[in-house]
Amino acid sequence: MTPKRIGDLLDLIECLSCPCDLDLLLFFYRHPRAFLISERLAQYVGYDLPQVAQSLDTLITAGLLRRSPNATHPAQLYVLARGSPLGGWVSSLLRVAEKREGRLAVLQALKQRPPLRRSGGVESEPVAGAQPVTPTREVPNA
Amino acid sequence: MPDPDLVKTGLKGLDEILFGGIPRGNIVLVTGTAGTGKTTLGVEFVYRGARQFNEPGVIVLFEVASDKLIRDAALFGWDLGELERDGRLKLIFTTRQLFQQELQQADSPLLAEAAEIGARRLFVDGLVRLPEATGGDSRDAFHLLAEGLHRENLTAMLALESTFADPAAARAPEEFVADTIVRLSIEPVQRAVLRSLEVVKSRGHEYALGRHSFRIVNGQGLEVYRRVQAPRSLERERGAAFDPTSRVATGIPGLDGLVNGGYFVASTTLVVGISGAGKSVMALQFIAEGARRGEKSLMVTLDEPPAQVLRNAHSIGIDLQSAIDKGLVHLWYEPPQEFEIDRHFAQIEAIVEDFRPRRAVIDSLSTYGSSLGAAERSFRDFFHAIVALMKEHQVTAVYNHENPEMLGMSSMMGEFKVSSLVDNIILMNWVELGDTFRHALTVAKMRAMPTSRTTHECEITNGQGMKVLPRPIRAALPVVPFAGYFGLISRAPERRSTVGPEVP
Repeated sequence: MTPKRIGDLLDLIECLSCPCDLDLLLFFYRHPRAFLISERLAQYVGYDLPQVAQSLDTLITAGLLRRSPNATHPAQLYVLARGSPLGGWVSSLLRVAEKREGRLAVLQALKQRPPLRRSGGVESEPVAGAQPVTPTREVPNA
Repeated sequence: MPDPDLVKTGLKGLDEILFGGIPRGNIVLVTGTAGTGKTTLGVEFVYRGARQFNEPGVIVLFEVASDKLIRDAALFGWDLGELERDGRLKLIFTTRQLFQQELQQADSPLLAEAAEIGARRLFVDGLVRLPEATGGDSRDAFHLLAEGLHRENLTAMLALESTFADPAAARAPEEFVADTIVRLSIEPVQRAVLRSLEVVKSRGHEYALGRHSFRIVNGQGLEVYRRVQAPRSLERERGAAFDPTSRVATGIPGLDGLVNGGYFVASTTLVVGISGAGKSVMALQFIAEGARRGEKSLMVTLDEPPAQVLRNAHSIGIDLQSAIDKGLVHLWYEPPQEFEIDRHFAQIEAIVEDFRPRRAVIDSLSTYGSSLGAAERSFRDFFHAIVALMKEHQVTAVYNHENPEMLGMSSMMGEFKVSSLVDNIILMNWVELGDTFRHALTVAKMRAMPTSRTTHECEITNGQGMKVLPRPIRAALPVVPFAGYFGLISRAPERRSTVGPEVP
């Protein structure tokens, strides 16, 4: 898939803005129903806990991930929401990103995107000289 | 005692060994080293439950990713993704510590997930001995886990890893707590390997003891073959025919007269002789005679592939292909390399039960001996089992056996100690007269029938097959009484020149 098409997919999905978002999504793509404590999840994906917490919120807010309602329980059940409106685009992106080269290409595309305004916590640094990509509404091929 | 509520595993051959299935609610421990098939067994248990028995299930994974499990299951034709979408299966990735903790909590989200789909079966993949995970007493920790599973009324299968370096794992403390233990192993046989499965214990029901063979078959899953020695139904033991009137024609001109009109129905006949003595020709004529009478016959060939058997039959005027096409003959070939005797027997058993032959030929018994080891108990056990199978189904069976001695026989069966299991023995010999080896046939044993044990000349003619030649000189020779010889049991009797005065 060309960088242009990856950029288009990211525009359609909108919510992904940093590598941790992508890697968490990839983790849940492989483990669509995971019952874990967040520290362990952070170890699995290899990011700091605050960053993972931020990305989890992003994915849940975007409707890509569901979390068990009992927030007081030390472990949470995370379920990838395959039926979300973004599901088709997310699947296309993850099929690309599950290979090493594809993941690197998506990360590169993420770096070139303008920063998303988040409610708080960690925010990606803007990449100098990045050109905004005009979103298209067609479903791209994987 | 009421019949237990048994959970059918749905795995081919396993429920037969478990005498119907696993008592509902049992905690089943599946032990074995890496690569023995624990995951396949557990996943198939849950898959079959959801697919065939309307029992939703949960698979708990600690190390394997769900997508890989789904991919691997697809090789067996199991669509786990479809079951998930239909709400009949959940794959949950977690850690061992969490799993252990959650089972001790009544409001566990993990258990709520199982309850949401009404799960009746659970498979936990990759349990290790619990002290490694909890730092506590292994037996006690496993007991807590088992109690949690009992509370949920799940029939749970837990794959417990044992290592090559830790043979003591086979007696893990968890085994004392579990209700059912299934031990999987891989053992080297020559340069091949054989998978085996043993139900070590199972509370609440009976099961077949011993190590049974199994295979992991692409597109199918596990196929378990009950060990050949395991007793079958009592009917099989009682199956020997008691029919003193019916005879099964041999198909060899001149032979029926020597065996009182034919073999008994469901009798076992051994034809012994060196290679080339005419055993396979006799077998083909026996099968052809059945086809001529409209009787179904099974021919198991281990030494020659079907094309060669068909050619051989054609050379003695038998159109075996035509009989096969008419459904009168089932020709089954299995090359003897890397023989798995339990599986082989299960296949013969299935053919006999489905095809229902009246006659059978096994060519040859000595090939089993060379694969299993003639002196081994397994060979005798196999032969005993196949004889019992044929008798139960009233199949008149002929077994060829190659004796290595070219001229004469010092022993009928050599190191194959099975002659006591057979009803009839026919010896095929070469006799060297002048510059020619001529075929000789002796009926050495006919159980429950008289036999003269005289040696007859045979002839095999191209396009016609074998026939036993008449013995016109027999009447001309006087029968000399034992008293006319000395050294009768010394293997070299000599005839007295004259019979002396009668001794009172």
